[in-house]
Amino acid sequence: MAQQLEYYSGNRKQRVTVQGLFSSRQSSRSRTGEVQPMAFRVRPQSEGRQVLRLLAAQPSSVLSRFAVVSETTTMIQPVQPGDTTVIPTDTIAVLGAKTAELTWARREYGLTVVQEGSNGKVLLAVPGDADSPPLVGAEAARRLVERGSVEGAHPNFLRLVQRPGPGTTAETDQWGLDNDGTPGVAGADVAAEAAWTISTGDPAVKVAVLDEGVDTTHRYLQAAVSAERDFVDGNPTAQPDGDDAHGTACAGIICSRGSTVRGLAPGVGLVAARIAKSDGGDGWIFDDFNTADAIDWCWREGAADVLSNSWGGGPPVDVMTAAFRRARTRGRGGKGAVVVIAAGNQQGPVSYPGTLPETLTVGASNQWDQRKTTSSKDGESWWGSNVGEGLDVMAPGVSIVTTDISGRRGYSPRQTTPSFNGTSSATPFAAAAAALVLSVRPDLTEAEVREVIVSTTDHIGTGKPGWSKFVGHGRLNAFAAMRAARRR
Amino acid sequence: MSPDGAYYWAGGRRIPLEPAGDVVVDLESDAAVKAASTTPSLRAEGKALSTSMVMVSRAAADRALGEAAASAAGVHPVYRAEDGTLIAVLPEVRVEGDARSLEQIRQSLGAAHVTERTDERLVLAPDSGRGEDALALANRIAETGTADVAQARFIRVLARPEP
Repeated sequence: MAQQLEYYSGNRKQRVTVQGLFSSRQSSRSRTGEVQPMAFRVRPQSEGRQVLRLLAAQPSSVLSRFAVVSETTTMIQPVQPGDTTVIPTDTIAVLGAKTAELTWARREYGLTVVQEGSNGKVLLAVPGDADSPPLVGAEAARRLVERGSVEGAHPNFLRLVQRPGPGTTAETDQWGLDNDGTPGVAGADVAAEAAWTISTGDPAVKVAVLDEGVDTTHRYLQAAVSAERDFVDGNPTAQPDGDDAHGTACAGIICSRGSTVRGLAPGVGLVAARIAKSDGGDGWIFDDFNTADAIDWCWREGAADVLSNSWGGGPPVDVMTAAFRRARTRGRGGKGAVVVIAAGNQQGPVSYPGTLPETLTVGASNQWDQRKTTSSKDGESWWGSNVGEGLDVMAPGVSIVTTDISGRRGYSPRQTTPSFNGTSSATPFAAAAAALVLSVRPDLTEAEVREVIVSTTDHIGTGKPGWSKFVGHGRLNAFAAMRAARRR
Repeated sequence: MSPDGAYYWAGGRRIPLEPAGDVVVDLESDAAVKAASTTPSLRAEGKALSTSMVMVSRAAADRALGEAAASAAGVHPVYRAEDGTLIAVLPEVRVEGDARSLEQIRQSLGAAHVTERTDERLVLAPDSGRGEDALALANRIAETGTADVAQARFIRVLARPEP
């Protein structure tokens, strides 16, 4: 049952719609004089569940502030994630109250002064035996204002604001897909919404993610998985170890099928190849031979049309170079699998294997369509996208919302994360775009797919249009690439 | 040129390898495992590369294994690339090419043997079981120009790409 609680603020009547209930008992003192934490008995209602969960998660230091909440029942306002919850209490705040007004309030409503603040603020409490203290308090506040002798009076709300921090402000803001400019520049994205008017991806088109494993049981990814293999430990699946969340995040950018966290090509298939593992610290361990075998398996047994590689570093080796060449020349029945590789995050030269010719090497852009640098507007001063020979396109690579491994060992405690970063996140955007192009034109060769993608980018940066060592050919535009492919 | 002259070939270029003097790889072998089993601290303080491999400090390896382990087929060299990547060289060489070339190489192996063969690939192991010898074998094959690829097995330890 929804009720409205009215009060004045700024000479205008305000309304708070309250739904849902929770019961509370005030904190009390034990016989030894020790203050006992307040116990909450919550009665979940569909409208108020998020608030109730939020309340239940509060530390005792916060809960102790609820001593002013009605002892029996009070009302809560339903919230959406990220909103502020206000909880009417059995107190009202009065500004500039004269003694005569306080006397009136005591006589009419039984209000008593419980706290005097600075600058003429007074906190008045509704009697504990009132039928519905928040409503009584709100009515008293309204009438005090209407009498015209106080500067202001309103219910004293408790506010539950989700603490700002990673993952709380933009949990579903997939700016890389559709950037509304908050923050950044509207349209600094890969034009996903427009691309989806053409296709969200053909299930017959498969993208391989070569990484430290993919949680192929993830509810947003599971349905897309067509093949998986572990080239590190020989396990039957490509499940990652421990806190190895990188591959799962990459896969989500390509083909997450969640309603709120969506990949760029949610209709395509996923091939997962585990090629690396954590060294227990901040390092990754690769066996070059196993990685070469994984590349071959992806295009051959996995029948992948696109290979997404969000990894790199160290010197070149011929075994991997040759395997990538085979993917490009023998994959897809000879039309070639598209090889997409991250440029790297050191703000230095593009790292191997991104240096290989005839691959699609991807750098990172931000919400302002800038190349990600240590001084770009996004404020992440600890990394920058690599530059130079080999760089082909830019794609979103800052604060990317995507899938995450389950539990506390992932990037976030939830099954999604709002803060995946780096050319690692830019690369799967380009891989997904290649998959969308192949969804509408499966007859194209891998070279034609790359040509379509680099020739339809949006110009970014301050230089002249065309290739530059800082931003390659420009920022990926999946819609433009698909449209060009159809017209080709 | 690196102090010990180590190098390999990639993309037709000779790439020098700088020894990472502070680490070696303890590959599973009877000698190394036996030595390690008597010094649990070696594995405890090392960095596990797989269930059978631990990367340990040179000092710890010296302490635990001594000269005996160093001369056994259980300790392999580790190099450091320009970008800081560590590269451990294992005693295995992969050779790719056409059947005629592979056969030609097989017939002139010297102190090495074939462990796997397909139409397009030979996998070789130096008889010594040493990583340095695998590197030398791969280089010798690469320098004859008979193979498309001749590469010793590298394990690389990279920084995670997570800014």
